[in-house]
Amino acid sequence: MKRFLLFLLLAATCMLAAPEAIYAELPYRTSYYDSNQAAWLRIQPVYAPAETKGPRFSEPVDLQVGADDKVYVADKGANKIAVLSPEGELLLSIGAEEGESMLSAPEGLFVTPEGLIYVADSGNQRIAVFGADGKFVRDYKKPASTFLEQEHFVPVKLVVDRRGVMYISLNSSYQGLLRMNGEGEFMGYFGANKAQQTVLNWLKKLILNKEQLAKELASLPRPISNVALDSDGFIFTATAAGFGQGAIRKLNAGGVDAFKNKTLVNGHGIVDVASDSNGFLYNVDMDSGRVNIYDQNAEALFAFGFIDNETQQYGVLGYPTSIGVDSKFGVWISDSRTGTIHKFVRTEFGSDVMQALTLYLAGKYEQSEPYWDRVYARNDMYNGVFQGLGKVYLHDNNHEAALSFLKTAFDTKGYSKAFWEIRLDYLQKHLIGLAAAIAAVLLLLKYGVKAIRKQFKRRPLPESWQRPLADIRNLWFVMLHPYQGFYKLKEAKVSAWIIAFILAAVIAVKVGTIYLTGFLFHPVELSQINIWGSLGLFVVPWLTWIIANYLVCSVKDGEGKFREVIQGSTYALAPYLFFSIPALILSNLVTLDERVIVDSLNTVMFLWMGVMLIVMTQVIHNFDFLETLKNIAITVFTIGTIWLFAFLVFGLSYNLYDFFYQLYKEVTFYG
Amino acid sequence: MVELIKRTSLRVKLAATVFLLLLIVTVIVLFQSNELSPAKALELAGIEEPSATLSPLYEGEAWKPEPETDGFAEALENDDFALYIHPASTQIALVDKRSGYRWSSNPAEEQLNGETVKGVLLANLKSPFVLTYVRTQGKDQTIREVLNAGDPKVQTTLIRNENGLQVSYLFTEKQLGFTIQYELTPQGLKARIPSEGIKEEGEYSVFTVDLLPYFGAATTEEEGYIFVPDGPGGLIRFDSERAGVSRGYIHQVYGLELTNSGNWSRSGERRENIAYPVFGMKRGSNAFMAVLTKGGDSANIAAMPPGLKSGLYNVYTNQIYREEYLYRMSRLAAPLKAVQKQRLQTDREIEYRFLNGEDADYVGMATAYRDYLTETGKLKEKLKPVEHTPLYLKIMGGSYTEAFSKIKYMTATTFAQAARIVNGLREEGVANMKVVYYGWQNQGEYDLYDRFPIEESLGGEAAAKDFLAEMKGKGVDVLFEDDFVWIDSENSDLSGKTNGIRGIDETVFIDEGWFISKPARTVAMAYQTMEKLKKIGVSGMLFNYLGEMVFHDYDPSGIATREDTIAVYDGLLAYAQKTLGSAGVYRGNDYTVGQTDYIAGLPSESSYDFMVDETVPFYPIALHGYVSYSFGDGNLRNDVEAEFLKAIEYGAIPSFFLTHEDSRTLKYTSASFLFSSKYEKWTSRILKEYADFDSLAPVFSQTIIDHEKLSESRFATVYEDGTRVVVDYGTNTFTVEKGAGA
Repeated sequence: MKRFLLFLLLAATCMLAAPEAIYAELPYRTSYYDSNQAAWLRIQPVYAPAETKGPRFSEPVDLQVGADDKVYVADKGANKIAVLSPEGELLLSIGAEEGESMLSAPEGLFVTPEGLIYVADSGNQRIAVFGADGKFVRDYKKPASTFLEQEHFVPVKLVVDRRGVMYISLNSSYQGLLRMNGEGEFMGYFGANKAQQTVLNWLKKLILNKEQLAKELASLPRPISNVALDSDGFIFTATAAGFGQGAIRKLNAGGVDAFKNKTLVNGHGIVDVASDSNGFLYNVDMDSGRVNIYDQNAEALFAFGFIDNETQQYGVLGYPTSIGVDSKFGVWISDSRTGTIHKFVRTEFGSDVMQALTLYLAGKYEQSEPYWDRVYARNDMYNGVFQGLGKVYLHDNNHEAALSFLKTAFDTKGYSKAFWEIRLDYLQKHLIGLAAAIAAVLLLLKYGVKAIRKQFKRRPLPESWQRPLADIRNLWFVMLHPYQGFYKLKEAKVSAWIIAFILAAVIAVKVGTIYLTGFLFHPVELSQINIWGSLGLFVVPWLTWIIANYLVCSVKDGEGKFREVIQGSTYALAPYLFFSIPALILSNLVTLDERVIVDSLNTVMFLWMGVMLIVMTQVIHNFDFLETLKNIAITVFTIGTIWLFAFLVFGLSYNLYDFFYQLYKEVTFYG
Repeated sequence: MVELIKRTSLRVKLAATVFLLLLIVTVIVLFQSNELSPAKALELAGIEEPSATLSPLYEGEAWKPEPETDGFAEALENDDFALYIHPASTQIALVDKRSGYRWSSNPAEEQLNGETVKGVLLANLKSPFVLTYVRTQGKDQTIREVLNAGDPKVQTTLIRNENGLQVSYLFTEKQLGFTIQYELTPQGLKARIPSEGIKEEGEYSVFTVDLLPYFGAATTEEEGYIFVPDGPGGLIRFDSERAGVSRGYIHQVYGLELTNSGNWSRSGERRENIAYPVFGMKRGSNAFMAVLTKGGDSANIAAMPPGLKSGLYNVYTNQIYREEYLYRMSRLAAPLKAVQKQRLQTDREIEYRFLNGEDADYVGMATAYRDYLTETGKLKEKLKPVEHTPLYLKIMGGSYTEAFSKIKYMTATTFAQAARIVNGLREEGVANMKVVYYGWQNQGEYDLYDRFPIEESLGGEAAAKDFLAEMKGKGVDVLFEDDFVWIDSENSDLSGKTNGIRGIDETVFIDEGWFISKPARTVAMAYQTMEKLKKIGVSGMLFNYLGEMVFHDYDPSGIATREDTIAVYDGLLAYAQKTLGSAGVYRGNDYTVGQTDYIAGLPSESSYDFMVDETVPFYPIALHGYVSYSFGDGNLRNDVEAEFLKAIEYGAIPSFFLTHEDSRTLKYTSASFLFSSKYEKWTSRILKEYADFDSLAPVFSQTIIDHEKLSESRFATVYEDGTRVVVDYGTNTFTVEKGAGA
């Protein structure tokens, strides 16, 4: 069953997996992005490769699908613009004739809705304009402006807005897009990327003087690698590198980025971006080697395709250079490695899921239902379908179903709404019962406790029980009167098993918070939690605190003994014990609107514990207040040092282990 | 303690010693009886230890032919064919006396005039072989250089006897030599490279040999195509223009060598591995079909378009003798390239069968291949006619996952639920069903060395017995699916060092913690499992990996080749058929077809190659009527309608992969590919499709005699009795026209 297991591997990490047998499958895998887990998971194909019997190109570097679904390709190697039919047959070839229409290494093109073809004629350093019939109309040379004297006018990509203003990307220019109006006048730069601010740069600015700074390499904004225009007039820029930050920017006429420099998943190696008529975005990414689909807000949805330099298959790209989407949502990609144009078409499932998403994102939940139902019939593992149907049910006031679906989708916002409705419903139905129950509990607490006390008075517990009970009861006292409490504790010797008991209780509460916290406050798949890791993250800092605190304070003339430090640090956990349980119960009862209650409870708890630790250090070691703060700072530093040391030891011993492992391998398998 | 021993009497000491010895012996005996040794298992299953028999070289006087005016001399002749050889260049030509057509091993002089290639490539064009060699001394031992028959330092010796013609080449300078034997058969020609004939006496060793690389090479002006074994069959037409083909079609039969990590660097490439070692070519009204009859598992099938190595279309085999691999000195250091030291010592043989007239197309080639399979006993009896088409119902019991920090079995369908699903479908009209049950092992496939008892959460052995008995009563065969090949070394006690196959660097091959069991160990595990399953009433096994994955085992004691692996796997399949009643495999590589009753996931789609222009049902034509096969499961298709129609067109039987619970239960398990498998969701679709498939029940046991493309979206398949099935992908419909013989 190894084959099946391999399916779990995420697409992006499959570069080094053993070749395996496959069945009736496409040459690539399709995945969907699960934003809750921040992971790509497998799904059936959304797009399938279509074999286009198109002409061969020499070096196609830019591609655009026109309003009439004709595909325009800039072939840099052949110095031509090719116009293809929606089926991929060559209709027209532009730019090969001698004369002023002759193109030289064109790297970009743009087709207006009217059919005018603007070509970034890079070799001739101009913009050439052709009519829909391929006749040369005019050209634009470098605009005359004092700002541009130093610039080389080598246009590589461009878009043209409704008013005929050109936004031109110049060869590796960091200044953004050059704006030129229909008369060929320079109108300034537009939409430059932000310069990278690094800590190192900040330090340099702080330390170096002006002359030294001038010698440093300037940190320039990353150049825009591609531009596209959507039907609403927004300009999309694609910028590679930077781990996807600002990989796609959606600029309005004022140059403001609607995506706010958002970090795009699978955007580090972005080549080009295109948008379809519903506003979904498509990108080709060299880094992940995939074609990615995003929603209108640039949230990743699906990834398909594959990039392989030695490709011999449709659907596997060699060196993608540009992407375009036609009106039937066919995705066209030019590939300069194989000199071909790849086309991908939506599968039946792909159409359903994209249609459902379109309606869902537009808020048309009711209309999206039939599509979601069809998607659900074909896949009940895809989270999107649970989110979609969950919202539909929420809209239909089917709260029970919505609750279950939205929980499966880990959609806390929707879940919270459904939960609010259900809770309200419950409260309305059982108001009297609930009030009675609460009253009963209160009475029970009041008289029950009294009764128990009375009982104990009448029949006191054996003498040997008194001391431990007092020690445990002391937790409460220490929490409320830390100075007094710790002072008393310093003198008392709490037995080891009481300490162990308290610690066990704390661990139990911790386990409880991991598994029993309400879904809204802990939206994770409980079965996938690494309990030892979580407990480790809880226990290890506490242990290192004890060690570091003892070491530091004994050097700094603290009075505390090791046992006292352990004892004090254990009692300092008291707020955790007392606050966590109500927080746990409340987390199961409140919605996101009221989450402030639980959050503030937690905040108070942690602050209180911090105070307890400070007081503990002060009292046990008999420091004054300032001394305490200083020593705590040193303790924290020591903790860091201990961890660094542990990390180094681990790293080095791994090398040593590897050495012996290799030796063992040599001896056993070669010797 | 010491005091105590000192104080006890001698008698007690003796008795204690004897008792201890007895205890040790019983423990050893117990452990041994529990553990079946691979050698013993092979013996019990009646599988012979694989041993290759190599063909001998011809002995005798050198033959000095007297060429005719065209330079060729007749060497061999039978009723239908005559073989000519050009003694100087050792080019050959075969004349098909039935049609008078002459097939040449190399393009004629006139054709060469139009060639633009020069140097070595031109010399290769004139040679009946191209030998690639590497150095065994010096700095870089991975540089490949080529030799051909045009080499000035080559000595050729011809020997002719009643069997055939032998041409031996000796490159005196390089001290390399090899031999080609040609034999005529009633259907055509056999060409062989005997392992015995390869001489490596100097500092050079053979890397690969292209055998008859330009046999029948055609120009773009001709009408015809090359047939390559891509998916169910692929055609490369001479007249089509295609995207940037930089490598041509060159792929190893049954896929690349798995243990060679050098093969992984481009594993983004997902393709249909070659399942049957066949290629062919059609030129006008003449065609040939070639089968790799020996050593095919270590060969590439290569088809080249014009513009890569010459101006011609050609198809041939590239015989692999050594592989380049990455040698890893340490886990942290970058790996080095190296070439395998030991040569693969297997004979290589290709049989060409020549077709003309009506038969000269892919249907004729497939028929010729079927004839080859039946003549050599690789395909045995025909299927028995059925009243209703069988439907293969795969049921996923469940799978394991790591949950709450331990291993948890996620139950998807218990035995009782499985019975309910089968009964439900029977009542609704599915008249013939076979069940394949998955994930029945203890904790699913968690530890495939230790698979018993049957998973308790499915109902355990008792429920399994009840289920099987009920199914037997209703005449429904139940197969259990199992994998005896991959073992997870982290979960299993089986030692990878003694039981795992070795890679070229002779270390155990481990991929993400999994190793591949040696074929004999596979037999041992399967033997013991089948013993137990037989007792509870299982009527067959679906074996994972046997039908789709073969490998060399580079054991330090000597290479066990793919051929040896195949021999053991075939023995195991035959044993399973004999013991349980039926055996099934995935994908159905050609070596399994004689020993298997059911092939799941037979190749049905192309690999989307630039090179391949059309996909045709070559393999289905060869198999239909002899073995039953299904394509992708009905509920897991990418395109529901198109793949359904393809199954109808290619004569497949239906299969569905179901669970009782929501598939979501299996999300975090290895069965996460079951996107939608809930029985309730699929019932109506199954019933609809079953009715459609059932209309083809009469042709279940018949062979396909013709297949044609009527238009872009309409295809017709014709069966023995004349029944014609026309599938229309445009309207998503199909029609069955009853044949006269029905």
